[in-house]
Amino acid sequence: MLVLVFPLLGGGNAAGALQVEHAIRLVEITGERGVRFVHDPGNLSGRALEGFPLPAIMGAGAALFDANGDGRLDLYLIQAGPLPEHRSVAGVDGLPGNRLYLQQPDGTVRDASEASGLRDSGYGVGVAVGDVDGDGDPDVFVSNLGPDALYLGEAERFTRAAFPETASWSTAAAFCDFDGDSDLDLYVGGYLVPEPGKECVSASGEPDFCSPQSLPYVRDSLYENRGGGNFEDVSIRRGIAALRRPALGVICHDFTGDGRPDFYVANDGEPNVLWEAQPDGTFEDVALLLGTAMNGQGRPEAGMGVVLGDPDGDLDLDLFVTHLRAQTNTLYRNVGAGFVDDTPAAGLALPSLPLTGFGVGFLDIENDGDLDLALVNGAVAMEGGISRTGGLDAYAEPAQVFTGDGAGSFVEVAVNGFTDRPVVGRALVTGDWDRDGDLDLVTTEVGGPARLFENRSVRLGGYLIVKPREEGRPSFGAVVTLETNLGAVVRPLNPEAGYLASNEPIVHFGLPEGAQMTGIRVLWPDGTRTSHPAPLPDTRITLHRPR
Amino acid sequence: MSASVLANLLGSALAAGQAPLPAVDRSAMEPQVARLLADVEAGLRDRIEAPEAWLAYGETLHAHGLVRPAATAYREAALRTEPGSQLALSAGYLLAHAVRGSAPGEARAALEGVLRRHPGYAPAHVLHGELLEETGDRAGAAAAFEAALLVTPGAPLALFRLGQMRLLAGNPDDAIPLLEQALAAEPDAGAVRSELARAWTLAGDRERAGATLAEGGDAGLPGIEDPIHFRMSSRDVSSPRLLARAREARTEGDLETARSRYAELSEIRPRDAVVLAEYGAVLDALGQFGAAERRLGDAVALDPDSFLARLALGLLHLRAGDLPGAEFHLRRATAARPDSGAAHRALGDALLRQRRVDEALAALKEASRLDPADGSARVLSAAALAELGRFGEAWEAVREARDRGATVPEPFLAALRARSPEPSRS
Repeated sequence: MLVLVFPLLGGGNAAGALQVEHAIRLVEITGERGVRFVHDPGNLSGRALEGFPLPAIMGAGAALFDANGDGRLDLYLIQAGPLPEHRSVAGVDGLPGNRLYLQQPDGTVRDASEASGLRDSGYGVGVAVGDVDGDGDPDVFVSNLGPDALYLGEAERFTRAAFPETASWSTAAAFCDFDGDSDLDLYVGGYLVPEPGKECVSASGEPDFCSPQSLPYVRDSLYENRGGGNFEDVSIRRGIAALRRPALGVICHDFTGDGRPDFYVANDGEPNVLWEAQPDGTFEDVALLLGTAMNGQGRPEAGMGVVLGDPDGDLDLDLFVTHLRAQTNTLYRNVGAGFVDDTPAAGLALPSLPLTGFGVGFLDIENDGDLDLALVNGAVAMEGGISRTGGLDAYAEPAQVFTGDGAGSFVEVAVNGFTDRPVVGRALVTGDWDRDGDLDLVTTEVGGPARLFENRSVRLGGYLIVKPREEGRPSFGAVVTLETNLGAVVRPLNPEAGYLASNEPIVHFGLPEGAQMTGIRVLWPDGTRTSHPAPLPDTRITLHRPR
Repeated sequence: MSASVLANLLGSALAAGQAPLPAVDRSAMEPQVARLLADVEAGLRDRIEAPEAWLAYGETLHAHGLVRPAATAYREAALRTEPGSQLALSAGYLLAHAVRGSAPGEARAALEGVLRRHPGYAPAHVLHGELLEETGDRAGAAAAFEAALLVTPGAPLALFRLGQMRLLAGNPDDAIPLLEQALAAEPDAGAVRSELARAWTLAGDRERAGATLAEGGDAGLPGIEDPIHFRMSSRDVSSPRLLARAREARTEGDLETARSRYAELSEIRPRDAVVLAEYGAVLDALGQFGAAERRLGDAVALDPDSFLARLALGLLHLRAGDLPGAEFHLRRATAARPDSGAAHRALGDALLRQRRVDEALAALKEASRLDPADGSARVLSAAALAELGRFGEAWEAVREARDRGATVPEPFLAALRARSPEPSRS
């Protein structure tokens, strides 16, 4: 008997009670491993708010990757600090900057921010990691409120490289070889033109953060890698500049199955975009045609995080987008010719209505072969007519975990230590931190600590970790199908999934009891298909795209 | 139905009788909002047993986004109404709206109470259907939308929602006629149009889907055309329709009418760079240069790649003699639309006036290549070639300009003749 009735603290479940899923244990190990990072949004005095600049409530991202090539996963955390308009006072030296924590053999971390060269001190927003210069080392792109930054990695050192002038407020970023020339290109979401000093009030006339609809939008940017990490902005030529909507999430994937990667962009309060790659190299928005622009009620929603996965086990990939309070998060189920909003039937509608979803991950938490869902939440507007003494904490909301049944239905469960603590959650990043074959989590908060959660769930099966690679780097956008005697399971490699995050570039499979692997198939981003023999269970394997 | 039964039905935690007012902290509110709420609250205190006073208080709170206390007020109103009365209907319906996200069970119960007494109220059927759909009860939702259509045949929202249910059930062929009917009733509803396009896609006819979207023109921005939004909006005209009318007036040369329509449109869509750019172009054509520059400046602030705004600003600066300013905007215009002959021609003009003749000539050649029928670019080319002393080519450009119906200024021709005789036509 694994379940008990347990009242959810902080409210998030419309029915008022959740089942505690004792099989799932997410244990916070932040302090014991030595991670000491607190996000500074630039408008806090203690927990009290000093003004309501919109950038301060949007939070920042994080990345899990092996920064120094020692085989251990490292943690890179994006920091904000003083708002750009206050920076002349702070001075560059006094800025907190991003932090790189290198994992040591004993599992603790060492702060290598300065020595690595990755202490970017812009007002940080998001991050993407990929090998853009083909030297086998990961490189790092940081999106900022202000100039973005590209850092080329070599051994343990990162050097800031030239990068085109970017939008005033960049958000999500995705590396992806969209033009098929074997190097990684880059899509960067553009959000808004910030207006320092702009003051907004809620419908009740109380000061609060501005709605994104109160500020001018900026366009997204598409950068083509001209080789060696030299990027050129090709947004106008490729058609991306045709739209201006406030982007917060982006996924690169071949949605139309033509061998050309497309981009799906979640927009904040405006219809989402699905940029379909055309034969002539331009992109056209087909989100309305394919049913991924708006929810099933025909309403555009406040898109934040976005993930791709196959929760219903029908071997095609569905989209899940997180949204604002009073909107459901939305599961766009792939039905072949397009997508349908299947959120209510999946059991994901009502639990999301009271909360504002941001970071999100499709992951098999207990290695039982079914995709589960983890979410972090946090409001962007205060409830009206209540005391304002709570400061930032008035925006806090609990995280959520949903267990999937592999057929497209989810049940929300309480996970002690993870879903019972209201915070202003933003990014959620997945990776196998301790190399034990399950996925661990990192979460970030506005004005709060980054938290590292070790997955100590009851193992309901074994695992397989696949690292698809091409040209000496992870093959972003590859789709791996694992065949077993119980059926096939499909998982994509999209480290950019979620909100402002860069997940460990691996494909993780849980292997339910009794499952025997019979083979692996890979659909590579350029449309090439390969088959591979069954590996041993509980292993990590690397598969290479044939040249 | 007794009041206490209704209270139970509505899930109220409060007992009947005099209830405390819902707690609302007004300390951080704007003074006028706080005053308004205080006045309505005072009115309620004077008539604490009057359901209409509770309803008015609830609506005032609701209108200011204070949903939780508004729900409390609606519950109190419901407790005090005669079952079956119009007030009971309003209280139940508004309560369902207020709590649909936080307490969906209570919302459903409230609506079901309303519908038992007022089965002819179509909006309640529609909201009931939406609530059922959110719980995954698609069959129940479809039945509710069908009930709304029985009450109000042809109700676009009910048609739209029922069409969506058919789509979700995997029956695009059943959905299409419903969505077509909804769109016929609400041709500006981008959400309906996009759902119809999606239905065509799911039916395997992507070409038809694309055509459906294209027929909507700017309804490709469906956020503005959300039918729910329109139902709740006091505006009686949709912005795409206004835009179409403004463009029509502009095309027909009725600039005053166009100006007034763009002015109205810019109020509705103040952050729409396309609207601002077109508005600026109309003002420019009317000779209202200051106003035009402001609108066009707003447009490029919103969309630095706006071709129309850049071109119009470039021409405006060109006329004003601000040649570097003109060049700046016209270069941005040619970058945004490298295939625009007009932009290259204007850029050539700006460069020629700055005596940067070689650059000007290159821009004008590009203009002529892009727009072979453009005689004006040839006139300017002739001037540039004459500046360079390439008189034969200048005369050739003059001939090409004349062949295209362009007028070549007589003083220029006289100056050219003074340097080089005009070649004979033969």
